[in-house]
Amino acid sequence: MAGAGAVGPRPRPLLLLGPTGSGRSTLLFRAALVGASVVSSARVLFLAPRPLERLPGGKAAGAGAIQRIHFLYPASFQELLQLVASLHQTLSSSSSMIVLDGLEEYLNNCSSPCTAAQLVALLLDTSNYFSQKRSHLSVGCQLIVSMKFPGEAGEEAEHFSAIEHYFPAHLWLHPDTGVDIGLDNQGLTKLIRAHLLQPGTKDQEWMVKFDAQGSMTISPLPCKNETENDTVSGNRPSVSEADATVPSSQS
Amino acid sequence: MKRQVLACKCPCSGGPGILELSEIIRCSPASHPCAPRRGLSAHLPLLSRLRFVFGTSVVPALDLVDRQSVTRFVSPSGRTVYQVVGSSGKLYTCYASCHFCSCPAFTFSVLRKGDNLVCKHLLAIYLSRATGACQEQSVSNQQLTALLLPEEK
Ligand SMILES: [Zn+2]
Repeated sequence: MAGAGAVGPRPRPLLLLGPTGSGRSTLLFRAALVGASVVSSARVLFLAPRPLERLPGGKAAGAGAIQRIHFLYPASFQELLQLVASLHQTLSSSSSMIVLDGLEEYLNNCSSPCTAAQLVALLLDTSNYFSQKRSHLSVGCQLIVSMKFPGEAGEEAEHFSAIEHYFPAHLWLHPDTGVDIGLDNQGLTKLIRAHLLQPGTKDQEWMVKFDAQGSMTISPLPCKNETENDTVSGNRPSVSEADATVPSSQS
Repeated sequence: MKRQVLACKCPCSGGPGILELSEIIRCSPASHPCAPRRGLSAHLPLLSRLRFVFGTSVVPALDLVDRQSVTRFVSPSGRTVYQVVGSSGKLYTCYASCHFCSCPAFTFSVLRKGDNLVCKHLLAIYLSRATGACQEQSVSNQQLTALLLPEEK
């Protein structure tokens, strides 16, 4: 919008949604790793209410990439707002990716849908600011936020409807029984179907497998309504980049 | 009075920061820089076009533009934010790169009901930028951070 001038490419903000135990944090961390490995100038900011219990896929991760991820754990909604608003003062180099895990936890102590929207708009405005700062580079700053699937009614739903419009791309995670896709279920602890929705493009789906050791594999699912299955390998920009590159780095 | 601002300054004089929404404004032939300067009446199609897209917010937004209610704050870090003095004198914060305004109308009719694209303050920012009526003010990084945050209640 205003004052944008010459701006580098702006990746589409992505909202990652799923119920408890659908592997949101693990996927988000993987996306951060992928984001940190793209180029040496990559700088990923990982915001979460608390540290991850363990770093998933850590052994497969390049040590260089993980050093480009900056972890910060604001304890409350207010702290998170304050932190995001001051990033332009505190960060010495512009972020190429901002990741926020557990938005629903922060929204728990947020007073109104308006303040919820302000937080998300501030995150988006901040990522646009970094994109502009990075306009000499080929990639802008991507924003990925994860949130627990909101309830149908009440405060959660109100907050959700105030913020969802800020995300043109939604990735829904659905825990799957695996029966209908004919996979050998032995040794599998979890199967998640990931469904990417973004207006103007074809829906895409992936199957995310967590084995007993907790390592994750991602494979594309053929499109339901189309017969071609070359949808994932293509050069698709921004949001899906993280998802699309993940299968190659499985542990 | 209202149309005077639009008539004096062509929207294309708004500089490099011309906004996506203002493309709508620019689409009007009367506002094109190459068009010879015509009288006030030349801008009437523009006004009706704006009214068609933005509804009843247009006239109040033009009022805000006329009163030079829009200020763009810039800090040494390059971060920017807008502040608009509402018709009641209250200050509203609007973000520079995505739609957010701290006014109640934005929450109710844009976020909640979705029946408007923007509130009058956001529209006033677009129009001020397009007409060159936007005030500019430099502030410190710290002051800009404070402007980005919601008011303490
Ligand atoms: Zn407003």
